Amino acid sequence: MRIKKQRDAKLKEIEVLVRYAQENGELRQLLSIIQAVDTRIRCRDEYKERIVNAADVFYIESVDKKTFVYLKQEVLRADGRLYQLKEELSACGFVQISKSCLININVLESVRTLLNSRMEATLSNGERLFVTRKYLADIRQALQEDR
Amino acid sequence: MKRLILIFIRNTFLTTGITLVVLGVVAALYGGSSIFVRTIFENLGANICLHLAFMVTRRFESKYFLIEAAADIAVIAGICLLFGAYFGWFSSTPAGVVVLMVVITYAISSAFQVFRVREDTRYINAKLKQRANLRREHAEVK
Repeated sequence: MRIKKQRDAKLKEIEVLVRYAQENGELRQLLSIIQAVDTRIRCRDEYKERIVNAADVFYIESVDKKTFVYLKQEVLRADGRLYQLKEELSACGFVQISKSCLININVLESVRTLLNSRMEATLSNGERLFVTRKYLADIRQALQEDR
Repeated sequence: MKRLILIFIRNTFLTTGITLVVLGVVAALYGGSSIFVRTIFENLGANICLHLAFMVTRRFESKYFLIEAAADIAVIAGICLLFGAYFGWFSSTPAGVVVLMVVITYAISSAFQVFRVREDTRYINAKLKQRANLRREHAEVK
C-alpha cells in the first residue's frame, strides 16, 4: 500500500480517495478505520459534553439502561442506547460480544475459551471482557469480511 | 434473519437426531426392538418447541455456566414432561428416564457446541493475528 498526501488550501475538510484494483480484506479494514475516525459519538463526562471519535473507543457497555463508552483510560457516558450505537457503529468495526457490550474489533487482541465453557476477549489495552457464545459467530462474521 | 432461521433448523434437526439415538439406546436397554413413526414426529415437535423456548430464555445471560445449564435443563425437562403427559410417553417410559434422557442429550449437544466454539475461537485468533501482521507491516513501511 502506498500512502500519498497532498495539501490543498482550498479544501474545507479532509478528503480521502482510496484507489484499489480489487476489493479485499485489507481495503475493508482500512475503510472501517477511516470511517471510525470520521464517526463521532456524543458523550459526557462529569462536567461537560464531549465528542469522541469512534476510533478512540475500546468498548461500549450498557449498565442499568445507561450506556458507558470506554476509551483507553477514560469512561464517559453516551446519550444513545446500545442498540442505536450498534447500528451507527457497525460500519466502523464495532461488534456485539454480549447482551450489554459492543467492542471495537480494531482493538481486539485475542479471544480464549475458559474452562467453564465461557469466553473472554482481550483488548489491546489489556482489558478483558466476557463474550457470550451466541455472539461469537458475529465476531467471526465481522472478521470473515476481511477476506 | 435468514441465518437465524438456518441455525434454528440445523439445531432442531441435530437435537432431534441425538434424541432419537439416545431413545434408541434406552429402548434397547429396556428390551425394545422398534420405534413408532409417530414417536419421531412427536420428538421433532418437542424439539421445535424447545428451540423456540431457547430463543426466549437465551435473552437472559449469566456469567455462570452452571446457572445457564440448569435453566436450559429445567426448560427442556418441563417441555418434555408436558409433551410426555400429552402424548402418553410415560406409559412406556418412566418420567425419570425421560428426564435422564434430557440430561444425556443436553450433555452431548453441549459437547458439540464446545467443539464449535473452539473452532470459532481458533478462526478468530488466526484472523486477528493476520490483521496484526498487516498493521505491523504497514507501520514498518511508514
